[in-house]
Amino acid sequence: MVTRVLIIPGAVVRSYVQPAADALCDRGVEARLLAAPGEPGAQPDLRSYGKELARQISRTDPLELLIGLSVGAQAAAVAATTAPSMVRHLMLISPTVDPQVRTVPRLLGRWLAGGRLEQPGLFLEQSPEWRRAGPQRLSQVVRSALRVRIEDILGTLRARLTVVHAEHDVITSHCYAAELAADHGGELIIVPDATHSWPYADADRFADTVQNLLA
Amino acid sequence: MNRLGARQLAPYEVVAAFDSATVLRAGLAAALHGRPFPHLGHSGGAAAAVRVGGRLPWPLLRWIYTRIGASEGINPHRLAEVDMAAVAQWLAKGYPQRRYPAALVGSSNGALTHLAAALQVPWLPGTVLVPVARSGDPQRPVDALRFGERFAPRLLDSNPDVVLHHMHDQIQDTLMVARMTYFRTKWRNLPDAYARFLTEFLAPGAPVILIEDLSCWPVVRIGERHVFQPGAQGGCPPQGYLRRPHTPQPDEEAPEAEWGANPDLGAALTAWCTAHKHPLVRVTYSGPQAPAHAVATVMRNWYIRRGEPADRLLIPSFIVGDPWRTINAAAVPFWTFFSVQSALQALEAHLQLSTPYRIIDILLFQHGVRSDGIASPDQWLSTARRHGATAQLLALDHRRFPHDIASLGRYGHALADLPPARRPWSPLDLDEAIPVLRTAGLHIHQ
Repeated sequence: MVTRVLIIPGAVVRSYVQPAADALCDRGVEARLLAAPGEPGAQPDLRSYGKELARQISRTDPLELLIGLSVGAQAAAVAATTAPSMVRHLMLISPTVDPQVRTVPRLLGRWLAGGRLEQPGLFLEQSPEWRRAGPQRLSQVVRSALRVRIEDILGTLRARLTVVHAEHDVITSHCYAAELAADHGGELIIVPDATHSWPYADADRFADTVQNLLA
Repeated sequence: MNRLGARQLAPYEVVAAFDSATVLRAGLAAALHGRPFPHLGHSGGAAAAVRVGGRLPWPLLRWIYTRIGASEGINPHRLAEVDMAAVAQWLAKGYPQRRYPAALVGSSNGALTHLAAALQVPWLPGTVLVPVARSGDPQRPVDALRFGERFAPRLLDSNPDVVLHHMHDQIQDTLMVARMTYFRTKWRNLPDAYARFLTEFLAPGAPVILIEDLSCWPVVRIGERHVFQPGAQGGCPPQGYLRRPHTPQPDEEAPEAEWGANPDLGAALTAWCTAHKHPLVRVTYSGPQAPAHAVATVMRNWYIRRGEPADRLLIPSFIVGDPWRTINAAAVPFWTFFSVQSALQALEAHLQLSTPYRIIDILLFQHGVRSDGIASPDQWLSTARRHGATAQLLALDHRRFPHDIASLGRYGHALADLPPARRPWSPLDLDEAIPVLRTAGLHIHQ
């Protein structure tokens, strides 16, 4: 069975998600990994990114599932509420920005703390993409992320909602993820022994999780 | 200021850091925050100090342990400054502020706090220990009773919503009762802070689960809201305490001081649920060990449905445990209320009724004395191995049992090292849990 799934990766980097998207495709799910917010050629402003995506998906059949990772979750929330009839299911993985860290210094502090928990290969893999995007685009994404509040956006959501929280995610708190799910009638999923960058290096578990949701 | 015009003690000055209700509530709050609960929630520095101090010879360590524990006792002349309404508010505020699909209220129970963590719902305790400084001979409970007669009215006059179960256990708490006495307070009304919390954070129509441990104990009635309980649940039955010298003879039975439920709180909660259109689910059992089998069964079924092997059993002990780590390791919790023979027999019964576990990890709370009815590490290990499991003591130097106090600073690391669960999970659904709890022997009235 063919299913349409779109995945929005985190800020300016997407290669870390490619194996997970490929794993879904290998299982017969029509999944496409979109450009990362802020990567060259893509909107660094998350609201604009989401609205543009909403325009695009409005020209086709409704999406079965829209997945957003980290700041990509903010763009996904904008898209799902801008084109409410075009997204059946919204999945927010490690959604940002936790209200407790909605300042640049706090967010940076959490990001640095989270980096210590990530697998060493992740930084090396992402460095070329960080360099290509450059500091200006990255800072535009961060400023936008601090402005776009998912909890305010989801009030008009019509799609089914799933919020995924990684056990060792220190950038997004468990409380924020659980609150988003609880306040908007969504389901909370906790991924044991995972970090903020999930599903990096965990493609099969990601594919299992998505397939379970689609079943 | 309280209703009698006295300055209030801060809630953290009032409650005991080693109290079952306070620590189990903190462990559950950590799980609702998505955090582990190492070293009973104390700082890493404190845990390191405990680990280092734990290497001292026991006579010296006992002296330190007793004095540190006793330092928690509040000055009896300040009992009028205890504000239990503020304590209730402090307990409720420790939970994340989000909408919950259910809430537990009532008796303390470590098995049920593990269940609550799996459900991702809060529990509001019905009983809290207020430790009071008092030096005396542990073997003279009658002196403790006289002390209570003299000082308890200060607490009770300031706090009309609680009843006092003054407890004296010279067998298991012999180190502590030399320098403090245990004022266990039970709410007889639903505290305003609990009512506010439920009003604000329960989802519309969400059930409230009343937890009632129906166990009783012989007591001496001191006043309308004051009883004295010689002894406590553990390795020795009531008669084992009552036949000792200098023990006041009871004139009635009352809800057990630490675990038992005050029926007035249940009635108040029932009225609140009716008025606020929340269904009440009443869970009753007798004795703190009773729910462990049912909870372990529910948790194991839940793990299997998640796709986990569910072949690792973890035995938390009294306040030593970590619901968040347990669930994220997909370890089946069989909570034991104390390292005593009755808990060991309950484990034996659970293992007889269950598909064999491959691994059994055992935590043992260290209360410092080889008391009557104690269950030794070897007994725990041999019970587990008799059922075919590979068994190990976690974080315990069993040569130092029952005073390996440093295990409190080590168990967090041991639990962090458990292999993680494999499958992502969503909170357990109450509607799924209730039939299994019922089948496994818990009385549930809806």
